[in-house]
Amino acid sequence: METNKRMHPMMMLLSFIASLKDIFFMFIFLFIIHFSSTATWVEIGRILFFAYLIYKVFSVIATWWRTTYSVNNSFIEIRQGVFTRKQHQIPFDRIQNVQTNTPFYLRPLNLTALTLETGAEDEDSSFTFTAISKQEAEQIEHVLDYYTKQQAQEPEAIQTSETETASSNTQPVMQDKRIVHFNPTKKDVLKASVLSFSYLLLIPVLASLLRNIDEVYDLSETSEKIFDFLRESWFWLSVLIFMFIIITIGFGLVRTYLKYGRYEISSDQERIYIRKGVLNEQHFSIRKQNVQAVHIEQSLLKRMLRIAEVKLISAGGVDISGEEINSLYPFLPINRAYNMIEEILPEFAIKTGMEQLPKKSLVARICQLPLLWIIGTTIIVIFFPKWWPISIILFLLTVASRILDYYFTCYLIHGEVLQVRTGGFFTTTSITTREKIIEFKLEQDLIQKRFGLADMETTNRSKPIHVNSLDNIPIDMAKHTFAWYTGRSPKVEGGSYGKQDLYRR
Amino acid sequence: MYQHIEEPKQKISQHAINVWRFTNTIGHFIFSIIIVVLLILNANFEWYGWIGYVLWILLGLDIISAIWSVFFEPILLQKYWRYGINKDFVQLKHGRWNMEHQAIPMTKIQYVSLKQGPILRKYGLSSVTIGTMASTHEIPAIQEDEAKTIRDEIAALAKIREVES
Repeated sequence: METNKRMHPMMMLLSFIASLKDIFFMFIFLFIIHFSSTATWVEIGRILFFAYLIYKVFSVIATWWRTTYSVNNSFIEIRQGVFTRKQHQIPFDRIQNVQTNTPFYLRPLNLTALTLETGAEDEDSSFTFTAISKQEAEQIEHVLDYYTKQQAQEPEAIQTSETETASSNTQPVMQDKRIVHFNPTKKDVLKASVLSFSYLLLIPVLASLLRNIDEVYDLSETSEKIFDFLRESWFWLSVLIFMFIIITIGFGLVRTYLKYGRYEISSDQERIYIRKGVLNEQHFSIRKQNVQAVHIEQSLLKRMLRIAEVKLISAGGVDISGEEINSLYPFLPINRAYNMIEEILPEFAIKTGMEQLPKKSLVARICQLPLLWIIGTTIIVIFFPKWWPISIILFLLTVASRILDYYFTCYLIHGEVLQVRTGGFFTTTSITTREKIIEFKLEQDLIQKRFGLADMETTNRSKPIHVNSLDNIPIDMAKHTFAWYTGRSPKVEGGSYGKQDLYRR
Repeated sequence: MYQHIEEPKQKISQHAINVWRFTNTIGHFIFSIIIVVLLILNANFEWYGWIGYVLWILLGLDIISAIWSVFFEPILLQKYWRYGINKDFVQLKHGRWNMEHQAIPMTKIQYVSLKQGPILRKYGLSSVTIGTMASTHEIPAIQEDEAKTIRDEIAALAKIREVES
């Protein structure tokens, strides 16, 4: 359908700059630190440096020239390699996630970077178009969407009888329409800026700035003068402190705004879309059916402010350059979070009134061997005997975390959904459905047997696999959950296989 | 509540005890030889003083663990190992003191394979390995023909694909 295309010529410049970043240190070393040196090795180094630069110019051009792609009806074909040619086909039905990332310097050129993620485990699992025009990116996304829509229609026709009741009767009308679920208000950004502690980042930034200036001009004398002056005048000192606080807060606000300000969560039938960033704009989408579990995470502080982070555990990695992108929004008001999950993913709807664990579970928790504390104490005793109070603090923290863990741990099964909350200082509520759990395990050791307790472990598909365990629950509860799980009645391709759902509350 | 799932009932072969005894004996034998060699070296060369103590402690621990894992552990392990296969699940359960009970849905299984080492072959046994998207599981030491039946059964049942997986 399409002929071979190349990426935008800007790609050359981008990869050239990227390679400059790699050798920046060499540049400093050869031309700044050894600025006046005429030693032979420095000369050779400089020649090699320029040779490398010239080589890089040609290699970047050649790579750009020799990298082509073509979009077909059901797959994208990519040809790469200057001398050894590599052909790489990505079938559309393997593509799990599409992401676009528009750094601020690409925006004026109307360009963007597009990443296609497949669920595969190897290094070919994702492909990034480093620079293509926005229209082109949109077109690729459009072709993909069209393809998945066509695919989705076929199996659905067979299975109308078995589609989930929850989603089919609420949203037949709004096919295709994107609904915006969340835009942070000013208040949200404000809260986020307090909680993200990004203002603390100012301190290292300032410190490194001062050090850099200090290297060029000797600051120690001036700083002494300033210090003496301030010690004598309380007024100026307080002004300075005040200004410092204002600047920190301002810095935190700007940083948070740039990161979480223009945020948007929207969804349609197929996918969840997230747009974020003010300077560097990022778009990405997750296929709803790939979502394996939903996590709601709260630290103690966030719990006090009734704010939570919602994460989606999805099959097929959603991770570019280490940044956690599976997070919906780290500072959602808790009630909004619950509603939103219900709106976006009705199958993962959360119910309140989760069951707590019985008292004996607390006893078992306390009785557990405090391994971390033992290791920590041994290290302290052997290497830093003077720091012994840390051992006591560590012990108290361990106990506190266990008690908190007991209080916060709770659990609920309703219909297809398993809802588990665990954690002490940092709680995680995990919501998953019976169909998405791929393995289920019960464990019980000798002590737990005495108490009538057991550990439960569920595994979800993700990258890497996602294991969720719930420790020291009563054995009845564990068996009950086991029974619930083994009563699963999966929908099966091509017909009504699977036993009837005997168990439903 | 628990009634409509059947606890796994099938046992693994009685010969498993001998197999485990044999492999554990070999393992501990090799380990203790290494320790003894190190002890001899330690006596002849001037190593740090504490190395000798550590080696003696290791040897002592190894002997205790050898007695446990050669004479007692295989019997208990074989006695309480259960597996069960029906059309929806593979269930594995083992251990009395440290009980572990696992359910793997048939539709999530990606491969089954048979394994047979020289010791297993001597007793006409095989072990079945089941791989899912998350991990691999093993049913150790069952009769060879039974293992083949199980493999074929799981392979046939696992062919059915769940929607959306």
